[in-house]
Amino acid sequence: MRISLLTVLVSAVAFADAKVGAAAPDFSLPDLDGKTVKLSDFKGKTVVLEWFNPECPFVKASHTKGSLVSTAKKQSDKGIVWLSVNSGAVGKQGAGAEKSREGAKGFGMSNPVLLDAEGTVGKAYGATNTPHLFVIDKGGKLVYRGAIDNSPDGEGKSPEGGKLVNYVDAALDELAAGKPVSVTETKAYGCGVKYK
Amino acid sequence: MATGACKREGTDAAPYLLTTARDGEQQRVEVKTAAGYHINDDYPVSFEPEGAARLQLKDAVKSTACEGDAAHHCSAAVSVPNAAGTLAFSVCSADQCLIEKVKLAAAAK
Repeated sequence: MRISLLTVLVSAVAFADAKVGAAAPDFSLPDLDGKTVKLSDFKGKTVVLEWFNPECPFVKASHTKGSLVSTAKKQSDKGIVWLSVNSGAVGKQGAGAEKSREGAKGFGMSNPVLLDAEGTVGKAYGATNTPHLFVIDKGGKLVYRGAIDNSPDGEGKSPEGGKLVNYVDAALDELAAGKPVSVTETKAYGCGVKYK
Repeated sequence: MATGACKREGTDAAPYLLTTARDGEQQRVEVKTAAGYHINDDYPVSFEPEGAARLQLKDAVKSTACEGDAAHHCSAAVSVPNAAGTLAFSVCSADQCLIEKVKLAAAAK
């Protein structure tokens, strides 16, 4: 009975989702140069987490044709901390430092890419897709989770409702204006995260 | 009826079989996934006739559940104008998703 209860508790932790409105789970992950990056290092700043798999065709489309083409650079220039997280397990599609580095270079990314091969952080946030975006406000609270935009082809050419909406840009603009984020959760699209 | 199978990068196996058949002024396109693959239902299926605007078809797709896996669809059929153009759809396996853009020719009578 004790073993069963323990199993249930461990499972619950493994698949816990970060909730909008609650404190974003802290983490500590290595970047592509092996330097440890902690979320708590950015206390007082707005942070965007982007789940990343450089070989996922939706990530490729979004970074080469769609809403991720210049969003990270543009927001970083405004003082937003943009961290890409690769939760692919060793041996899986797009996983590891080498593929992440190649992908980031090919997409012209200048923001840090963090490696989460064990998938601990991805599961703590409930990241299901690549890309999957999470916005954390200056107080450390999760204020948005979901898709980068409303065009699930990744290219920005098939927006639902006919008009392309970049949800992350919109959330960051609202935060900058001192307003609450109006769209706090959307369904992420793309590839599944290649967890261990 | 025309039939085409597209190969996965780095393999000789086809992740799906695509067939087209003339249906009046339209052509009916059917995609059947290979073992281990399923239709990506979240992807906005579209057809872009050459020289014309892209048509969004997601709501027009008729999908059939996989045998022994009701959670996924393993075939999908949709009617598109009988014109040359590009059909965009996506199939996934447990390991990867593919975005496919297949050039279709107008079907002969």
